[in-house]
Amino acid sequence: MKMRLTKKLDREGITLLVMLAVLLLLPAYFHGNQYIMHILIMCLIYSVVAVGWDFMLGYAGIFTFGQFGFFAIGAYASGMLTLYAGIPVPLGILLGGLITAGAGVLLGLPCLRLKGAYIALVTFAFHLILVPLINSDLGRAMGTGATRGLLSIPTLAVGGYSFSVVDKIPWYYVLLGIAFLSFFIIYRITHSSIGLAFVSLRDSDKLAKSLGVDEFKHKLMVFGISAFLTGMIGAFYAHYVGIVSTRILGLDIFLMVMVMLVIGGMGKFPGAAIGAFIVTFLNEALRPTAEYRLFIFGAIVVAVIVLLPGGLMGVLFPTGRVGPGERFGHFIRRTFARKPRKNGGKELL
Amino acid sequence: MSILQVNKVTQLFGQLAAVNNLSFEVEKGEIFGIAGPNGAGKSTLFDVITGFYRGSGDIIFDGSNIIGLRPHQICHRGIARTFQIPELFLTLPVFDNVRVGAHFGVRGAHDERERINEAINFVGLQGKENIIAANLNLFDKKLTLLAVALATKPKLLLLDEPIGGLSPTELRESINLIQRINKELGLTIIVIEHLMKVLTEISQRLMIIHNGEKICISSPQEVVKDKRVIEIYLGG
Repeated sequence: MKMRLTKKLDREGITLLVMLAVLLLLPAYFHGNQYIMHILIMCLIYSVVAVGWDFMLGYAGIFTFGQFGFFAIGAYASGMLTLYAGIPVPLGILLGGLITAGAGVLLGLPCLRLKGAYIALVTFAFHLILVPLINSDLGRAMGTGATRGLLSIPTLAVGGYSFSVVDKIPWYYVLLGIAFLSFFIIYRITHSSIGLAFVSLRDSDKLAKSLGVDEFKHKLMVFGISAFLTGMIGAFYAHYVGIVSTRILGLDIFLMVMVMLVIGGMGKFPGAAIGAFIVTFLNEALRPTAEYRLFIFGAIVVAVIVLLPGGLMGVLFPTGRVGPGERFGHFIRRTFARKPRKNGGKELL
Repeated sequence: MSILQVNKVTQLFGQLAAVNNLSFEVEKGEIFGIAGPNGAGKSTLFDVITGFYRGSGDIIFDGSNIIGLRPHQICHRGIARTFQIPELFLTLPVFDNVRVGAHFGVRGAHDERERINEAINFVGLQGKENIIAANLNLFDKKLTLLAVALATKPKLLLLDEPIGGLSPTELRESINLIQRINKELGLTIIVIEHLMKVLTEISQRLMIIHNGEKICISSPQEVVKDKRVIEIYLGG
């Protein structure tokens, strides 16, 4: 039994450690190129969003589309707190996360009575109402800056040191710390008895409840944790970019993060984080193709779903837990056995 | 002494009373059988007792009323159940399936690992701890279900068609196991089953329900002679 646990610990933990080592050294490889550093920073930001989303979707099995709503709440909350109340930025980022966690729990309440696609509808409705709310007179009265957005959000400053726009390397390393702290939190939770409760509710909520798992408490915890991490990174984003508008609630970014989940491997932590790096860099690399970019992206997504239903993590670790869209090994076996595939990729849906 | 008193329990679905003003008592230490045609309300009765539906009436378990409690609270009071369609945590190995019951089913206990191993050994799943539940055959799935329920250290065990779809040998083993759970672990068991032969063999008393209503409760020998029961089962 111990064997199995350590093996699991190794797989996810070692992936994380390798990622961390590579990311610590990457700036040196790119000679601190500011353009590349900016892309790396966006990669890290998206990776936290993707991991937070995957935590709910792939791990707890809650079909939520409200993650960018959380991201926006965190960004606006911290932006407004630091702009109007003069709160120090690090505290603002933390408060942004906490306020978003509160919003997440509130959003989780109506979702408790719902299942599957209905949760997707409610959470997506939450996403959709944020844009008109922020842009409305009510939003303006609250201080969102309405359609103009929040401008000149204070930059990150720790102690006497203020982070500048021209040097992205300090930003990168602070973000690396925040991101890996988030990953570590997720890692610890998924390896604890709380994580066991989440998985049991995902697999069979009936059986889980009959065995003493408190569905109410644990589902709200999932919402709270995921919202906290996403809101915190949203707040960081606000201070990094210095401007927040409803642009961050755009569907293009939303879909892009979804692609990250698919390519990285849903329910296969930390696949979503790796997916974030691949997709963000791919997105940049495909810029010369102009309007064909989205077409190529679409083709890649379809190919991944059909050929590698477990995403990249499914390729790296084909013998992992059975989960949505896994079993790359089975695919290989079926392909080489020249038998017709029965449901290649169907598991994902 | 009765461990469970069901008192005038009704469960309505719209106008339909799936369980209709049902009263019965289960004695401590007995195996109590429930039978009845499809749609008689047997599984719904289990759902009401375990808190999945909030019926009306009283359900006194071990001296206190449990009606209105939520499923996980009822589990903590000491009632465990299995489901008709084998519900398991299919992505988890057998060990972790049982771990859910052992960890969450008992409040503030520290003997989790012992209870997991005990339950697995009791049902005879040693050596299969690391198999993912989705890859088990039906019999092993049913054994896992029992182990998961036993890991919560219940006083009362509700079994919903525990032997449906099994081969004759597996059926024999299951019956032995149920009797061992009753005798060796001292658990009171309520069992829903379609196979009358099995029910009459294992249960001390038998209740027949039809359209949510109680037809009769008595010893198996007498139940099968009951005119109303014959009417329902053979369409007299």
